[in-house]
Amino acid sequence: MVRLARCGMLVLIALVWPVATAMGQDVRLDVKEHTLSNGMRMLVVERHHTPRIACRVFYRVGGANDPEGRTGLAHLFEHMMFRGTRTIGTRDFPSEEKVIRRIDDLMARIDAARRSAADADTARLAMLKAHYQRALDRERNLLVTNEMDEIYSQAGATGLNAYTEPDNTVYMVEIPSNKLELFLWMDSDRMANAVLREFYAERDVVQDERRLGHEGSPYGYFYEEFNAVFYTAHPYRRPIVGWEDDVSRVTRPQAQEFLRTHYTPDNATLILVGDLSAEDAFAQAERYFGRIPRAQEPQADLVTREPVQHGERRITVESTAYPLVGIAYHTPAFGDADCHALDVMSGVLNGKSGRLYRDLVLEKDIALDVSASSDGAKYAGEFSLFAIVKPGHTHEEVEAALEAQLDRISKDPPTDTEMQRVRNSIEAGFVRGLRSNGGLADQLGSYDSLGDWHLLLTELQQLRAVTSADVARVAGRYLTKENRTIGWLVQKRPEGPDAGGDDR
Amino acid sequence: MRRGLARSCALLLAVALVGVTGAASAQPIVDHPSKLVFPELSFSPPSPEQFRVDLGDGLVVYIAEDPTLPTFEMSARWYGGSFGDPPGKEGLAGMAYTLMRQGGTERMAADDLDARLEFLAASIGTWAGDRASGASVWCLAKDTEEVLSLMADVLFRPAFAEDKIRLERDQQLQALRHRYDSADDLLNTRLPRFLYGDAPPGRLDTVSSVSSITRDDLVTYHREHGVPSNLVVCVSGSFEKQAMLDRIKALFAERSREPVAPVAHNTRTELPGATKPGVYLLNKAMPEVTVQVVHLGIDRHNPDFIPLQIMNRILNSPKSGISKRVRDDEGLAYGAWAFVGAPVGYAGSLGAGLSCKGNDAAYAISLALEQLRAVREKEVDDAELSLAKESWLNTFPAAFSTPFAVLERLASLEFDGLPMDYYQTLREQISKVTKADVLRVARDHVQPERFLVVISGDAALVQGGNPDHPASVSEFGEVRVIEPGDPGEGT
Repeated sequence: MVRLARCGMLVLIALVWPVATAMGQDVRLDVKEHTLSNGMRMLVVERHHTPRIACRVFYRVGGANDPEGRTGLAHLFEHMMFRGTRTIGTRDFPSEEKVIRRIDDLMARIDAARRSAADADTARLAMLKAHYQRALDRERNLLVTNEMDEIYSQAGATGLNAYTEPDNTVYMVEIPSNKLELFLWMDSDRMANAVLREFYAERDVVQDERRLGHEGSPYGYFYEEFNAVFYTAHPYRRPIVGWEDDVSRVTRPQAQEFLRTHYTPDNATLILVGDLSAEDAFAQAERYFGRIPRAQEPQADLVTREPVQHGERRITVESTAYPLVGIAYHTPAFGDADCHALDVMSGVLNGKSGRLYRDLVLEKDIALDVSASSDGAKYAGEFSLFAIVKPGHTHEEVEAALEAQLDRISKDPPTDTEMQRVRNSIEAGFVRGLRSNGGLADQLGSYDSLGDWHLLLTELQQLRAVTSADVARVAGRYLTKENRTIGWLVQKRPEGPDAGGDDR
Repeated sequence: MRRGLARSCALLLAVALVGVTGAASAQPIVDHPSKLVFPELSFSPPSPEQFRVDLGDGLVVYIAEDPTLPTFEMSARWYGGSFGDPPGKEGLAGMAYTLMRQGGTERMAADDLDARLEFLAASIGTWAGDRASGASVWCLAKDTEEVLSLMADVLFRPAFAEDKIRLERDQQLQALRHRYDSADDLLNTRLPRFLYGDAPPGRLDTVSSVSSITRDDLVTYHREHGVPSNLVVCVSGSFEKQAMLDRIKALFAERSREPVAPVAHNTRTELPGATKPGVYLLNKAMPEVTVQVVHLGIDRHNPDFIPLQIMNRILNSPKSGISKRVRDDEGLAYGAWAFVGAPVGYAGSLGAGLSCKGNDAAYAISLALEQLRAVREKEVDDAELSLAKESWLNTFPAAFSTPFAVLERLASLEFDGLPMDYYQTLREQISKVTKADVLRVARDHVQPERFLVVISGDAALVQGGNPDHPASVSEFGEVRVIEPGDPGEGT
């Protein structure tokens, strides 16, 4: 009886949304929506032109959900999800499980020995490391390396990958249309039975990734430090890859707890776009994902909100990269009506014919490149500008020119031509996003995570409705001195800093 | 809708009953995905005749009406590219085609053209490759007429404005001066010269050659090469087919009457001027090194292309390939891979690449070489062959992911001189490759005694090695340490 009642609660909605574009032509977006018995959401779009399916699982957990002192956990966990399950990636899971527990125990003792005041006890540390190495070798003998890759590869899958955002973690793969059941088998197994094997080796890989990322991208440290000053309290202040020291201390049991808490069907949405039948997909998904129990407790919302800022903040970072000026303002989270006007404002400023490029690059010739962006995320928003200072010019010049352009928005609101250019660009961007199965799946997933995939459509209409006066109004409201953070990336001197010198 | 709901409920009910009674279901979930049985995938690759229209005078169009989105997309390609640059003017073709778009037109200044295209959210691009050049367009369907007339100006009436030439040249010079910044870039810049010597694929754009290119050179290049009479166009979008064909014919009516010969097939594996086998260590103080173990291989028309691609897949297999051995088993490399390049018209490179810490390089290279030797020593096992073939066969429809992608694939066959039934027969060609074929092509084409080992990174670290796994780069041939000179000149 209980099960029948649950069946009655099933929601199955199919909607064909004709989106009237500016030229009066309709883009038909036929999204079929469904919720499994355990609360897992599904969105399916049938497109039969090629026998392939783009598959995405969006988990509504990301870097912002990392527990304090364990930053980088969501991202590290994303890596772990490719290491297999109780079935995939192992020859003998019961034996392997014993070895994994042994490794956890040894690693805890090694970490403790490393950090203890009496870390002169190197003999003890060396002995523990020898035991640890032996346990690793034992584990390795039980593994089937890359089995997930191999299975997907043989099946003709492409693009097996994942990424971690502040509020989401997304797993993706594209499969031949006759292999839907394989995907459902593999990804439901991964949700229910992931094994965090070779955890500590992967932890080192992530540390390498962090180092390489920063060494390979000279702007890495700048954006990390800028962000940490821009937010004082909200978890958005932390790098998704985690602070180095946190990542070096995170343990497998902590990651296991993260899995139990967040990787539940009622905290995920499955999106399938391509050559499939929605009805069949819903039924098959119920067989595979439907058997996984929902979370024992509901997902806790993030508590800390970013407090109001009471004065300008400044930061200087030294690097070998091109000198840079960044300015960022706090703006509302996604869903606030002002977000649309802020998006349009970034459009007015951006592009080769936008106000910033014309003024700073073409006319004043003081910057090599410049960009603006408006990002309304789940919990908070940010409007930011970045400009690369042209050699021979100063940060002061570029900062003043950026400020002047922002001031101009209120005094000299966007013209009809500027507004139409932005509307056209938004429209074209929307249509371009629908071209590939993967692109559409990503867009649906992002909006679903923010509350409702229909926002993909309504947002387009709301962006079209923004007026020049709206843009001027939000500029006056948010682009204030006390609401901003300014960052300068200055060139590092080869010989090291001179005390009191101008280090630009 | 109602039927869908009813069916879902019925199925759920069935699952529920199984759960309660524990009886064997009609569809129990198997305990391993290898036990899943999949329906046959019926996929017939699209045939060229459906889309191909010959408009005469060398103009061939692949066209598909696609009313699903209100957009227009076009590409065009013709023979001739940077390999034809005169000595001392390397970079000419690239700069000419870039500036046809960036340098404005007789009717519209460059900034106004940018502004107009941005206003329409449209894009026009022109490019030069090594042996081919081309153009592309994307816009909303309603703007097709206007964007195509802007396109005609770009192709046939470019202005080559002096200030835009200066800007483009400055940007290129800046990039040339920074092309030794990372180990990777240094290797990629220097490698072609090692492989091809003075032959066109080995020639580099330099600060001197790019600086010497004048507006007159660009104007002359455009007049002489611009858009030749023989070209292949792909066009898809929301339009009426016949009207669009008429429009394409009008668009290209101004093209040069001189056809350009297609790229000649070339199955030579040695080019004059190529470097002696051995170790070439490009010294750069960086903790990480990039390596290629490489010699010249095949061109695209080589009859062994398909078995060699299968061999390459086996060398990159997640089960036992180079990456598994170097990265997963030994934890040495950030990345490791095998490659069999097969460009049209000249021999590509064949070998393995990897990046790792400097002192691990010798050992990592020895592991990669071990794999490259092993593939020619004995037949691969059945499971490896099957994995390589299955993954290719099963991925193959992904090449046809959008209507425009279909057109581009088919147009490439014609443009590259490949059989027009290539995709129709590919399945059979892949299926019939045997272990003996893989061994034969490995023995014919992988030649360890010919390998150049080119390493970019800290020479002292590389030569010092790592006591944990002894190996020395001198095992791979005579070691020549090269101090990179001026990145701008590629010395």
